[in-house]
Amino acid sequence: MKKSLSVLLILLCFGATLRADLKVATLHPLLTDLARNVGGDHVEVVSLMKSGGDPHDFEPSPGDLVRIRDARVILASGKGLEIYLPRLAANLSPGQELFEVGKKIPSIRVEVGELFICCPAHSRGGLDPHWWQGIGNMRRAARYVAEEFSRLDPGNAAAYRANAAAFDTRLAALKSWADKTLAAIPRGDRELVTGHAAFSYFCREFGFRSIPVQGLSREREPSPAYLAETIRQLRQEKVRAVFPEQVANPKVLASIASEAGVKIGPALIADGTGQGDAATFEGMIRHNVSAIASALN
Amino acid sequence: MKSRPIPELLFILLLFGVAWFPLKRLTDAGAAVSLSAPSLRPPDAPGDAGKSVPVFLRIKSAHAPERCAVSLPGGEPLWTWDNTAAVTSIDARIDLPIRPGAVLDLAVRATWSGGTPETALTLTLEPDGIEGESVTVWARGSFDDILTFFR
Repeated sequence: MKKSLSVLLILLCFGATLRADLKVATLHPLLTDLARNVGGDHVEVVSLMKSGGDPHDFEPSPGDLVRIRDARVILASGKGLEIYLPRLAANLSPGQELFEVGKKIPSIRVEVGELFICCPAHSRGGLDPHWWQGIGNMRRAARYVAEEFSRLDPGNAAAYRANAAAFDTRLAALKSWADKTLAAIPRGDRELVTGHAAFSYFCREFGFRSIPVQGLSREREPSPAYLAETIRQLRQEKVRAVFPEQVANPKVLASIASEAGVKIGPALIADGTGQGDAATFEGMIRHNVSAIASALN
Repeated sequence: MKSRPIPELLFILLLFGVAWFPLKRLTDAGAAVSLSAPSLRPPDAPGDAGKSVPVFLRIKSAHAPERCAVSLPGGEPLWTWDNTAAVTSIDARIDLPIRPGAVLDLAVRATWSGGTPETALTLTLEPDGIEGESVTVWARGSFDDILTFFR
């Protein structure tokens, strides 16, 4: 009994000394990964949306607000991804800050006709909110997060800068690997046909043309005229593969592919909510790049 | 049929007068439409001409430079790097007058110690909210020239 109590006491003391200097809440799994990479041991990260979730349906619950009430900063993806952000901002405790990581990252505006970017709510502003599909964007984001953490916790500023620099080096290597992996795909074949327009940043970075064939939201069926035009376009452009998305229903895309005589590639992670090895940013990029290379090579 | 120049002229002037008012309203309305048309500037991007924008600057060189300075052409140095640690890369945050779609000229001066072979020097600018760009030049011993970004 005495022994158990001593162990408990030691653990409690040890736990107290290990307490993080900065508590951070995140609204997206990739921001959790980013915060851990930049913050290291100095931050405690509370992740509100878990891997495998859907950012298009997610909204923090009252219980979530209780969990993050002592977080100093809440990291949001920005660019309109979190449509609940104004409501969340109104419920913050005094001293808490909301930091939109994507705010200063260059945006891509998607032409929205019959197309939706990914869901009706995110199509209103015409901005593709999936900025974390670009490696260069994530490198920028790491710097912005390091600056923010340093402002809030100046005592560990050097550590945050060093962590961000180390992460940047890994991401530079990731970009180099991705460039080499995709190099075998001729420039003329670099067409990324997906269900929704979630890969604009990836396409810009790696020289692909983004063709979001499904167009409409996940909840609705595309019109027959739109489907016919899409199938005609796929045949005309001799597209080699179409890529479903992990959390989307592949039925419509499969029927388009079948009609157009195009093969279906492996499912891509569109919303940054991959699981297992693909739960981190680096894992997601490796998964998507490998999937695209295997289908288009 | 006999021509009557003065009444004909008066008739034409009257027609012009009648047409002028609705035409003016139309052209004014056109101007208003073009003013209220959506802006072409990238979202989240700073838009005022000449307004300073925070910029991430990265300088990399194959061989460590002794010193490097960046300025606007004809201006005082905005940022100076005395490379006492003899490293080959440095990051900095500086403010530059950048407008989306506009070209930026930067005066760059760098020196290397004697005996350094011809080496590559890369400057990367990433303004907040605007796509970044890198420019690489080669130099032996020193470099003093204008580099153009965002052509």
